[in-house]
Amino acid sequence: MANLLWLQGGACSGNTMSFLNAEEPSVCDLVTDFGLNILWHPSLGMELGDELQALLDGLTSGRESLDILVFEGTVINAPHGTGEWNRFAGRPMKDWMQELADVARYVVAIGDCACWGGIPAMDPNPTDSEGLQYLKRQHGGTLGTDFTSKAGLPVINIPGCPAHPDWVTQILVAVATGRAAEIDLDDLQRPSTFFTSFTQTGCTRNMHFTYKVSATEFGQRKGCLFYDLGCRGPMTHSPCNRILWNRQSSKTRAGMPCIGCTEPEFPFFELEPGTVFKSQTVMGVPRDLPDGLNKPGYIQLTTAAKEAAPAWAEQDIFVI
Amino acid sequence: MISIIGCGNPVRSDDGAGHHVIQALLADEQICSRKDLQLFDAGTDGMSVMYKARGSQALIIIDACQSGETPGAVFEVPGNEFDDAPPKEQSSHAFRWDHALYAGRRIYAEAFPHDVTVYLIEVETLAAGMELSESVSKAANQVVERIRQKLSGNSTAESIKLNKASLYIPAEVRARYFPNCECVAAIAEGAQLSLAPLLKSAGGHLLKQINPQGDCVVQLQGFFRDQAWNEFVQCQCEIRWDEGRAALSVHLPKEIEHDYATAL
Amino acid sequence: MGEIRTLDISPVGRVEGDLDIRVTVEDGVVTDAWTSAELFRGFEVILRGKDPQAGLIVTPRVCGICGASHLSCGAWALDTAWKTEVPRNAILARNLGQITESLQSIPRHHYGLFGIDFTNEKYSKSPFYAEACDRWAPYTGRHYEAGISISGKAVEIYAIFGGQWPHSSYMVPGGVMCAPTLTDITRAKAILEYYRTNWLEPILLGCSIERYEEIQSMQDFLAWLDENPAHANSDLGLYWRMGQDIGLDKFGGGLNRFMSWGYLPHEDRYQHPTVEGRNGAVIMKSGVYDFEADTHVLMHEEHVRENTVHAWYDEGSADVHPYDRETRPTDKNARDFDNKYSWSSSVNHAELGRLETGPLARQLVAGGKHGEDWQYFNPVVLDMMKAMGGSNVLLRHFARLHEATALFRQAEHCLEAFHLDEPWYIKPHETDGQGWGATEAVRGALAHWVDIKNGKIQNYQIVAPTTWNIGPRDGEGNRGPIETALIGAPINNLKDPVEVGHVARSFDSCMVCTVHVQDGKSGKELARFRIN
Repeated sequence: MANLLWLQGGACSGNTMSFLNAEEPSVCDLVTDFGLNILWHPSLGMELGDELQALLDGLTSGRESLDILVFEGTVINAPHGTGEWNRFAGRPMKDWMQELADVARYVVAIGDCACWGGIPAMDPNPTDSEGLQYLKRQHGGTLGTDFTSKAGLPVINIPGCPAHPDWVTQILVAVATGRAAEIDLDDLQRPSTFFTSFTQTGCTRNMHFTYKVSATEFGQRKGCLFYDLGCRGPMTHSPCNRILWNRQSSKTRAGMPCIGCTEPEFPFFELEPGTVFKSQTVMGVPRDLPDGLNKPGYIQLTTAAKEAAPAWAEQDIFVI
Repeated sequence: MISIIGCGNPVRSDDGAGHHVIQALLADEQICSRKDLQLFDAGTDGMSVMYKARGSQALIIIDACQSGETPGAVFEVPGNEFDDAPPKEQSSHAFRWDHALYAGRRIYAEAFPHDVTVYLIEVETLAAGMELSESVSKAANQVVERIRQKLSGNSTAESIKLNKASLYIPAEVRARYFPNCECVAAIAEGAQLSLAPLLKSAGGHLLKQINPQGDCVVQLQGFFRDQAWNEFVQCQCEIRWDEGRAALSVHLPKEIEHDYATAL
Repeated sequence: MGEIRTLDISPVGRVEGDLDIRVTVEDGVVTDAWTSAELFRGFEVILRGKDPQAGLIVTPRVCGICGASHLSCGAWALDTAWKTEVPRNAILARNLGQITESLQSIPRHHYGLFGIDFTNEKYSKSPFYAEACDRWAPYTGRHYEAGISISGKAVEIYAIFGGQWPHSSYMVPGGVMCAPTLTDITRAKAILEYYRTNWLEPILLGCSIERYEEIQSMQDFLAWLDENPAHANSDLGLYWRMGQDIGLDKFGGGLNRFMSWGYLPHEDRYQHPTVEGRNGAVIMKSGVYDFEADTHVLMHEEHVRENTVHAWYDEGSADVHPYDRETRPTDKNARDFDNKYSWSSSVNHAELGRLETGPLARQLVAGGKHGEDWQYFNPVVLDMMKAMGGSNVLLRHFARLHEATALFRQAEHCLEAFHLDEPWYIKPHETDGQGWGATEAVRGALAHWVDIKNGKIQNYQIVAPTTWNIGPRDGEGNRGPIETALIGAPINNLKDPVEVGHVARSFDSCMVCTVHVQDGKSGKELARFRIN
């Protein structure tokens, strides 16, 4: 039996909604089969009012153990570092979060907002938002660089806007079955199982990437979205095309460019005019190249690809 | 899955040969620990053979016979030798296992085992009594030994569940073939699927844990679609470790290649 | 003069977001109420100066529950600003996204948020209590798990067209990003069929959709309930019978004035989207319904006004149109119930005042004789409302469940009407200008206003369903819809005022409610966790 508490800061509830789409195991399976005891969740909790206050006090005072603290949404510091713009149970949410993180065995940040600040932390960051242990790529956040939870791990970051339900359930399963020690974290504290390969890995448009056949407009079945439509699939670490969304598809499979939502810089270029769904180029070469590729290498590769491309690559090979 | 089913009436001495073979196999710990086996004493209920065998890849039936050969003779007969329609005028009490094979093949089609072996033991006596005669007892022990051998050479008979393009991998299968590994690569060759273990973080399809016992699922909906395989097939698939490929080979049924739209 | 009692619950869960409600209770009945939204995230501030299409990425993330609705509004707003042409396939694909998100939300709200209250100990004397616990207890109830699971199925269809749910941005000005194949359509049909055969018919209705569609009035509904034990024992049947037994038809009425933007533009009538042309192009018609006067009129975007006298913004005291909002938050956001006490503005209709929005509003509008002949018409909920003499908690939530069959039919229509060899996207010409897009999120009327100057967003304003419903008092001191609906609610147990939860959750507000009850006579807020 592992006690879990799920709180939301500056959140849209998207990670909760995504989590509820989980199957095999479902949220109900986590509770009934894995013995996960959800002490409270803003969308699912039974307790209200003074019962919840008593529960929170019990946890912060150590009377009851908190195995997993899940936090969704940004930590809001405005105005002037007080956090009063996001109150919960009569206090700034940031104060609750810090006190609970100190007593929790594991702290899990779910979604971009909790990991790095996400959209609310975008310029001009009106709510003075940050993530639990990062602001964008800068280590620190609300809990500080040295923070480790009772079990000795830093905040486990499961980014994504939203995070995929399987990424969340498998981490909770590992903790609930005593295998948390096996979770390997990368240098941004993300589980490396999920965030080592690229969004492009497994994309159905890879063939078109290879031959530099571009989808120049939306609504096309063929063509890679990287060259013109600003797709970040080759630079983004996520398993979106290996572990499909809603068991069905992925954004790039459906025709939407990857917007890099598992990386700390999301939303990229602060959504400045001209940056949305348009590849950013300098002298015809993409500003951001596929991970690890240099500019001369890119030019050689694409020139050769263009010349070598078979005729079918430009044709619509996908049957209706 | 392999089903082993004994038939016959244990209170009519040698007619209980099938019953005694099953009892002997049930006493064997090694055999009982195998998850890909089911042992069943059908007694005189021939029709239950049909239900029990459904979904298995292999079926072994043991029964007594009266052919005129010397008592204690053992026959190993391929299942396709038996294809008799049950007589229409008889009641269900007279429905024998050979009728069950006939009916099972027609009703369950692909889901009924193709690999059927029947062991028949010639009786000495059918007098009332619970004991086997000496000759038949000896023959029954031979059949037990024969089945044991057949099973030990038959590591291919392991199987896993396929449902809606998801493969369900029991904890012990995972531990045996995919230890310390979180993801597998899926490789398609015709209607043949292989799952190759991948090093940590190398990508591939997630071995997703679905219960505290450690059973897993590999969800291959997208992969099936890319191969234009039917996503809606539900069956047990035989698995076998392929040393050459260093991958687990999964035998998919023929209907995987049926058109998706017509399957709805 | 009655006895005044005070309690303080903080917070109430199962309402998305952060909200406090303060109520005064006299003789066990709520006599006054104040609603205050407790979270400011500043999306309007973030969007200033950004790429015109930034709204397509940012606004679905305003609400992870209604992402498709925000995306629809964002895309239609840019369509009207850029004067695009939207191909019929794209209209259908957008509608399908909106519909599947709503089909997701209906069971998720019923089982995850609303039905749980029926298992509250307070109702243990109800003859339906044991059955409600068996079905709707969180995590373990027979239908709780089925309901949560089926909700995830509906958005699998969304993922086929949009790549994922939540938070896709597949709708763009000029159309959609996807170009599905026949296999995609077939798979989507299979999932829709699964939704019908695994939940909608066997669990929610206890009958076929066809049989349910025969219901045209309150009398028909009651006859349907009695016709067959399967109907009475369906989740809808149990909800209605137990809801009446525990008195949900007795409180939670509210303003009795309603509005809907209407939604689902017809695929052949809105290829050249304009603000003026929208009312004549939507399948589900727009409208304002006044119960007292029994009148229906169309709703227009120019009628919308916002007031921030009681909200934590420094924007004066006048009623302004969203285009004229500046979104200047105040630093000081202590709750002062005579002055400012919420992050939500109060929204009103320039002529008709404060209005309630949501499924109940949509159904009451759908029963009106206004609009055009081809538009969707359904008189059931309007007839029930008249028979019951006004709105209440029971009817408000019934309207939500009642919508499932009509939405299912619309989804079927989309999947049948696609022409796969025709375009999905027509590249638009990007210009400056003003645009407006609206839809009906499952919880009510949603609209975006965008003003583009010099190729950047000059102003982006969102009026969400919750802004209509949860807004504080307006410039003239009039209460908002939920503030009004809370008045008269009986509070049976001050320690567990489940009735306040019923009212708040019947609006399906995107809020986490915190409830403060205050001494009605002295105005003095008493100690927390205490009854005195």
